[in-house]
Amino acid sequence: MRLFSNRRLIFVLLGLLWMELSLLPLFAVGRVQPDFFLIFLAFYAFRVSWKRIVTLSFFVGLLRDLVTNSFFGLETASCVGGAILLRFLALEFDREKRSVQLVSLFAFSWVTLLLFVLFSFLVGERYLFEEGIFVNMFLTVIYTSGFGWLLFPLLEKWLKPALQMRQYELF
Amino acid sequence: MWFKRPLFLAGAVLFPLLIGATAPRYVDQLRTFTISLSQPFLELQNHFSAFLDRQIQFLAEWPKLRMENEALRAELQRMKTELEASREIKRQVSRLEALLHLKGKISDRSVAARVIGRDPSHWSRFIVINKGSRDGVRKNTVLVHPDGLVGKVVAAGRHSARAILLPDAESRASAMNQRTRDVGLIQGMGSSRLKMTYLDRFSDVQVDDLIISSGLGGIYPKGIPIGTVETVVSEKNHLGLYALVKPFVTFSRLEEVLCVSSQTGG
Repeated sequence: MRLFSNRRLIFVLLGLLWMELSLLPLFAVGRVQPDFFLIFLAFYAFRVSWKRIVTLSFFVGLLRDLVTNSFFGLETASCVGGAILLRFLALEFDREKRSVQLVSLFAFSWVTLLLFVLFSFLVGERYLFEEGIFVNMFLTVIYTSGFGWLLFPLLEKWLKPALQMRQYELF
Repeated sequence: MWFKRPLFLAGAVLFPLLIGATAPRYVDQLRTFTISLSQPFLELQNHFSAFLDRQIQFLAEWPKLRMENEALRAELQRMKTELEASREIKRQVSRLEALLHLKGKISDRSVAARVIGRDPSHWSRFIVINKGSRDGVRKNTVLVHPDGLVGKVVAAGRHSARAILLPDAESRASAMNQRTRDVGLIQGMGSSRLKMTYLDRFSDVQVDDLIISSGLGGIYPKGIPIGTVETVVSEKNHLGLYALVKPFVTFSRLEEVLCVSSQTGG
């Protein structure tokens, strides 16, 4: 398994898990909370390896399924679905550009949350009928993208040795 | 090979969902196991989170707490001042009661006075009281305290008077040993002790004898306690004795005195 080319990535993932489990209420604005895992996955796709992003998303989704109480598999399915889009974006656009990264994070978050709601509707957990769910989702995506804008430079700084060389497909 | 990837992706999406749909009991067990594994960390996180919450709450309340703290400090200071004032009043009442009691015992005309000034000099012992000729206080009016004799007025104004205390080197008062009835002269030494001179060389003055005013000399009334004998010493010429007397009154802490005027005809 070469998902984590550097140990620092594991620490970052554990740190994000820890933040997600403990510090998330501190960042919550009403019901809107940022999604640190989505930020990590987007960062991984753009700055570490777009090739392994689907596999990593699968395991991150599985991890989330294990610690949440929603229908088992929803997190994994939505993460993998979103990761396919993320992989496409990372492959097609300039991965060095911060604007591309943030727009991709926005799209990835949006699709992942939509897929989650859609799958949950399919398996009978009718989140679709929850009042204001799309507004809440949209605000969550905005908030997550905002946090991404803050966290991407920090992650890049911490993980500098782990990052790959410049994108070569576009040259 | 082209179909392998979509199949793999579909499997990745559907497999966990299938597990969730078909074996919810096992999923629950798996989740319980995961939670039990992570419980210590979750507890630690919980403590940390609670700590952060408290700190944030503390920071949010900081300006209010600061203002409240300042208000409480001011309130505490005010209460302390009031408490001290009431203690002072209590002490004053106690002293005035003693003076009143003394006044009842003295048949002569008397008036209570407050000490309003002290002599700043290192060598003389004078006080200023807040009663003067308007209140019947005149030169040679005797000052007494519940503990004993204090001194006499040397100059009286209309509203105040200056009095010499027994420890002043210029002060003289006729005194008597209450036990032996030996008469002598109490004079100040500028210190905390008084000197009783002109004692007969054969007098039986002993340590702890009570010295009172003798009434001779026409200024100090008879029988007012002055102090107790601390030391008896023979004069250098061996013609008489003198005694060092420890006065009952603490002159440095005098606050109220009773002015007794009968001897002056006031």
